[in-house]
Amino acid sequence: MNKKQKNRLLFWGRIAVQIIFFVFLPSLFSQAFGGVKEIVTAIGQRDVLSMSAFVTKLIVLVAVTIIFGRVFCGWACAFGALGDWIYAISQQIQKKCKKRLPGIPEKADYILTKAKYGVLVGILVLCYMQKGQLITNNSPWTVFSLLTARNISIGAYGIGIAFLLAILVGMAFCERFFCRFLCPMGAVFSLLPQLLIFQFKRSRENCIPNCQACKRNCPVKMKLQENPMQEGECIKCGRCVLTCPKKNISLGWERIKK
Amino acid sequence: MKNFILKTTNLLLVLSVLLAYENVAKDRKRQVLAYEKKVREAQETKYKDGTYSGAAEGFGGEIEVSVEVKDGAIDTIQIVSAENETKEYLEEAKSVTDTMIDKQTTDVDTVSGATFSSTGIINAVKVALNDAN
Repeated sequence: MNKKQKNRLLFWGRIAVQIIFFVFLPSLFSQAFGGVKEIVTAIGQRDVLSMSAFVTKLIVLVAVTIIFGRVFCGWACAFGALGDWIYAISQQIQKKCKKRLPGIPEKADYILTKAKYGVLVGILVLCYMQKGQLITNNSPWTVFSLLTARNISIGAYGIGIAFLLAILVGMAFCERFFCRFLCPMGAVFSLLPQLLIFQFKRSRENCIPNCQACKRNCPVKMKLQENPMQEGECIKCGRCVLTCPKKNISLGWERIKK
Repeated sequence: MKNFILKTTNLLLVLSVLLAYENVAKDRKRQVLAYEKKVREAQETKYKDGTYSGAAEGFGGEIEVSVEVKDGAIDTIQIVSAENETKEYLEEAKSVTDTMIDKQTTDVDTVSGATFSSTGIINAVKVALNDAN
């Protein structure tokens, strides 16, 4: 398989995997985070920690993330996939109408990526104070989980619906809007150490001066300055690999093979 | 690389805290369960079977009682000696032993008119049952 075929496989393969997870495991992200909430709630009650179904899923995703990086975010998370598709549709519409939606200035963008840690801490504090139910009742994820389970009795979740709609709008404006600015599970993942072997590495010596194609195409707007791209934001979508005109970016272990 | 070390250290810290917490929580739960078990057992069988004697101050002197516990319950209370008790008061006070057997507790009212004697009998039974707990 040559490079071009590999790249095509990467591009369509990721979309296929996203669709499969969206159809069969659309609440996985929410359940894993449910495990986090359960642990904190138990600690708040001074209760023993138990290996519930949620906690087990959390541990699995954490392990996967430590080994491979945030592949879950990039390939399996239904909410992330939703964001990808909404943004893609939004881009198409913008192209057709020849109008561009405003973007977020770089400085504000950077600060906003730190906001998800605030969201995470806020939710954990509420769970510790045994107010976790409050989160569940008003969470956009609850509404999303109900809908993807083909359950339309979302009447009682007015606030959750409002949040979800606002998020959908955000997703149309900014790629991976929720993932980068608001996702508490993503916040947890980004704090995990990631094995260097599976990180994308960039051979900067071969770069075309002022190219920046990888940076411009990155859905999570990584600075792409570190080598390997260890930043907790990388969701392993592989777009930089596909975009680079000189094929400078590859998986860590491929570099070792060279 | 520095980033990796930082995050790994952070993760190990969080895991060790959780582990330590789990140990403490497990210990605590074990203690709570043991205590609850003890409370349950205490309520089911209040007293150990056997015959116990106790003595306490009555009206005129010491009253000695013998308490028999059968099947965890107070079966009989006998006044072994009450040398200096005034006969009439003692006779009145004796009914407190029936009450204690009926109610299966020493937490009973004294007989009015024979307060000291009945208190003496009750206390003597209490002393006796101390050994039965």
